[in-house]
Amino acid sequence: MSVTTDTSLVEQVTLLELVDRVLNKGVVLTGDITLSVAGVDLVYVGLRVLLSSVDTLDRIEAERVEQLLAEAVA
Amino acid sequence: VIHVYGFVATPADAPGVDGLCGAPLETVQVGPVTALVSRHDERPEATEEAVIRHARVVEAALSLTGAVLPARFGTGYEDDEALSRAVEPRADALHDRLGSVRGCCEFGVRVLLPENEPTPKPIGGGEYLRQRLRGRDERARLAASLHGPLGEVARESTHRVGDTGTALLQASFLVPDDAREEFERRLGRLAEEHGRLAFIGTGPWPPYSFAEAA
Repeated sequence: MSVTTDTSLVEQVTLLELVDRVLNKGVVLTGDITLSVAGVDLVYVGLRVLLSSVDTLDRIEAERVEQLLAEAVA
Repeated sequence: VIHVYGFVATPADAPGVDGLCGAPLETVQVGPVTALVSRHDERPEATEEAVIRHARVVEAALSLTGAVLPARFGTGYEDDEALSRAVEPRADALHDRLGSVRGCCEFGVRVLLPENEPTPKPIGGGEYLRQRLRGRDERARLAASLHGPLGEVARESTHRVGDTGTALLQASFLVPDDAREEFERRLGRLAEEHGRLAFIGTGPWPPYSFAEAA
């Protein structure tokens, strides 16, 4: 297995996953949710990333990650 | 407005980190569960900074107590009474859920197909539809063959299979601490076996995707 060494990509993916979880998962009580999303940009976030990827991950352009992020907060 | 970060088992102290906008963390006990909250003049916006801060509080709570149910960002109440009223009917269920996620962490796995996979040209209507359906079955089979070996070592899992496009599988796994090594080994082996696919594994996360019972 080859693990990507593109740290900025790893950071973007991690942030994507984080935003998806914080905004779309978790306990919801009695529908009392009003969410206003301000500009969520892609920057460094020093969380842990386990693995991984094959070489193809290195070829996923940043635009794709941004698109996924947009879907995550949509 | 009271912003809720998550729930831990009673009794609990607030973790020693700041909340959103530097607000101090407080605890609000509702029977067997305790909500971790901070108070704000206005409903906090979901900025990138706020999302990360929320996540930090959840992680700090997990380290401190060993089990946390994250609240979805945006869960806000006018006062303590409104919060208690919302939590009370669910308090026992939330407490049970805390027991289910204790000693586990969440791993996320996304699997992407290569881009620019040659797509057969659409033929006549009926044949095109048959091809589409066949393609969908194949995707489902492939996704199941990836999800299966990982799900075996997880306590619970969720997954979504993409019918079209490069996103083949998006899955989350609730993995007991003593199965983590095996889970990571299996994920690595799958990535080796399927060289043309991109595997994106992230974690360990607090159990965001398993905060609510399935």
